[in-house]
Amino acid sequence: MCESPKPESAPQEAAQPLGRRRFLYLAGGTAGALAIGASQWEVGVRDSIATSTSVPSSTPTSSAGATAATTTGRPLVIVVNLAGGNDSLNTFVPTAAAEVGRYRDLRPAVGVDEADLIDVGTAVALHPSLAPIMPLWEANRAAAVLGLGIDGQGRSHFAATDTLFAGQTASADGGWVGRWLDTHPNAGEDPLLAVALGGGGSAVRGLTGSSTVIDDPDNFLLRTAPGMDVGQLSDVFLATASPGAAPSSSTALDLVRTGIPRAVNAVDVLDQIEQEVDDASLESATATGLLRTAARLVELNLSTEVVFVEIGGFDTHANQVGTHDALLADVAQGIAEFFETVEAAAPERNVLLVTTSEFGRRAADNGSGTDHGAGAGHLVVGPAMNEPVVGTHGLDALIDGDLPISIPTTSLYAMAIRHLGGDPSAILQPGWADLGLIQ
Amino acid sequence: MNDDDQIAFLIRRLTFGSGFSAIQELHDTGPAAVREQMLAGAGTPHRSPWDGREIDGQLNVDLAVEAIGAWTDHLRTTDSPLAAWMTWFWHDHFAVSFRNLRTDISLFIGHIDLLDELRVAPFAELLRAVTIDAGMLVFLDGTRNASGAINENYGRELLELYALGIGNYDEDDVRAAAVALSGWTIPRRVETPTPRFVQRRHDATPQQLLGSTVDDLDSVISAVTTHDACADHLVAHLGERILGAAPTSSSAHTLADELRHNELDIASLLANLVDLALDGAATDIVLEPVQWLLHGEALTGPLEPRPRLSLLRAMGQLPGAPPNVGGYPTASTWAGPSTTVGRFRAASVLAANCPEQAPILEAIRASEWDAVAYLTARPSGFSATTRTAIDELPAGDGRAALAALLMSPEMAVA
Repeated sequence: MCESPKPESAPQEAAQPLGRRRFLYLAGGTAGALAIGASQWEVGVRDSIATSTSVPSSTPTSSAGATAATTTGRPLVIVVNLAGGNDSLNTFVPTAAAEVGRYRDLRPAVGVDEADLIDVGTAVALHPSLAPIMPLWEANRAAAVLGLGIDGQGRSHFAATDTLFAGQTASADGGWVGRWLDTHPNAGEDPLLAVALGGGGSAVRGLTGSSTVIDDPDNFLLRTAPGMDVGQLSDVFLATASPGAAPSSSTALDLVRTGIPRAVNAVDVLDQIEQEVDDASLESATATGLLRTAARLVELNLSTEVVFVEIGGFDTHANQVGTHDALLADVAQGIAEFFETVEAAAPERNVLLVTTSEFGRRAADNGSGTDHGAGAGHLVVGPAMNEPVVGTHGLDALIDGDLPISIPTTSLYAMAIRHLGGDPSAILQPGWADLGLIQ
Repeated sequence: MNDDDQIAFLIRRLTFGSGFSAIQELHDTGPAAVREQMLAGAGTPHRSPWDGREIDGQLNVDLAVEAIGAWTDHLRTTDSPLAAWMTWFWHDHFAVSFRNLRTDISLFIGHIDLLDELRVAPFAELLRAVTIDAGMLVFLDGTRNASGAINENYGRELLELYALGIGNYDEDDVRAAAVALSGWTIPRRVETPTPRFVQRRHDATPQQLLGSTVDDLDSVISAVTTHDACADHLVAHLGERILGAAPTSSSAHTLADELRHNELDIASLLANLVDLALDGAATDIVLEPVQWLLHGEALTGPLEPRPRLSLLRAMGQLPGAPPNVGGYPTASTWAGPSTTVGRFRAASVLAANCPEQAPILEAIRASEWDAVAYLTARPSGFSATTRTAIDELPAGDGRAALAALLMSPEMAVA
């Protein structure tokens, strides 16, 4: 590609890691809300950096697909939210004699060709795009949970997403990950315990626990125009928001002031992630890209216990066939690569990955795609599974054209919270079921 | 609000920077006359940001940069800033993204031109036009919505996002709207597709929508825009954008009553909200990146479209590409880490790009904070913390100080 001079664009810009002097600077602040915030950051980040010096030096890896599941070790939960409403009836396609005819009747336009399906010997077969996760599936480390949803979630993207993230229809104090965070002994001191990439901020937001939300990891580093000193400018940036600033009468101003040290400190940590900055790209994030960033976070051996990854595009009302194939392929590739990387670099981590989505899609197609629905199936990946498939689509019991909800989505959350050593009943409203899926 | 605060509000909140270069003149004119001019300008006849340009063809990065670059140039330089602001408001309201109009960038251009043309029209007129706009028909799959293959995508967002708000309709209404709107499509393989109604694709079965019987475009628009919740919905959205928070319930009630009485005339709602704001009902907001960056460009000189859009994308707001059907995120998002980090970089790029003789560079270089406050339309100025932090920078060409000023918390709010 031919390089032409671009006065304000990125390639010549300076990027520089900032190191720990930043935190010393902040620790010198006077009392006040922001000072407390800053010193909390200092502790969390310094601990993280200290931990990262003890990364295991060498690790055995398996090149022949998935290794065995770790049953002990430091837990890690990855949530991959498929925003827009994934069509799970085409992700996990019915093959049982009783359902297959019904599926074909409902999906004349967007049904997955029978010949392309991945037969896994259960009542559902996998969409061909899920091929990358087959080593994990065959190693008994991936499963599908069908019939998931939260009663009352509705068919609005926004109401259903609020419900999904809160884990309940009534308003909640923070998202479900955030409420877990609030019960964590280091909550409020370690902003890296829960990290959201690409979206999902309201799922990880707690009352007392602080989390880190990075909408666009590919652009998350401090850079300046050529000739400017990144260190000097970032110091003055922090100073304009320093704890000494008089309290203002403007909530917006206070919000911006609080945001500056949070952002700069998050950059200091994530600076260690190799980033690709592509100025010309106007594309959206991919699951593969975000999960690479997530894997890099794990490789750095930070204190992170939950990574929430969100990708969009699943609202396939029209032209579903090619679009959905590509989306699922991206997700499956991202998951496969994630496990490969993490198991090589951090085999001591005990990873549980789940997918979620605000709703499933209508059982019948609309001639080109599918409209908003209710019940949905999702993937659980990582630990050794007791069953390959839990629950059913309920094709014989459609409600207003939707797959019924038979298992509360909070059951997945309960599994994740237990995996993290937490107490689901302290965090979730009653109603979740113990799926008995993982050992 | 005193006179200076009122001028500052009008410039910082309701323009994309075009007020900064004329700030002396605006002060001389006085807030009452400026308000008058701006509201009159909101109704100025449509002039396309793409006049005189041939931007057409399959969407690619270069075309997108050219199209969105021209639009953002227009936002920054227009002499009818409130007109451009209202068009941007409707863009956020209907949230059509050029990313989803795969076929042709001209669909997006046509859509924005339509919004601009009807920016202060009675809402029913705007909603009717948007419903059968080629860009919208592609964006929410109206082109696929046909008898026997009813597609609910537009019907749902019409009720939830565009006209009524959740809680004011049920699933049967969604279906009814979709059925009654079936048959509107755009011809394939035509360079400039004009929407058309194809009778054989239309399901004419009468439907019950919000208590009315509907079977076509006009009856749907009428059922929706005569519903009480429509005025409430518009008051809430435009009110939040102008006042910084939803209007208090008593003023929302009054505004909605008047809006219904005026047959959803947007011009009068806009005037009422601006007056409420100037009367002191507005609260500060965190500026969205587009507005923040264009304010910066107004002070330091324009950027080329490509770096402008690259910086905005990094701040989380690529103009023309709202992240989902709900539009751009709410204002508090813009204090988050991604935008904050992007603001740092963008401020340095703006400062590096600033001409040597720019008044803002001279003022900050000389630490003339009264002049800085005046030029940036911040009568309350900058906090002692910000001033000290910037004044303590080693003396130099002033560009580091300018960058620090532009990235300061005060510049990010209005």
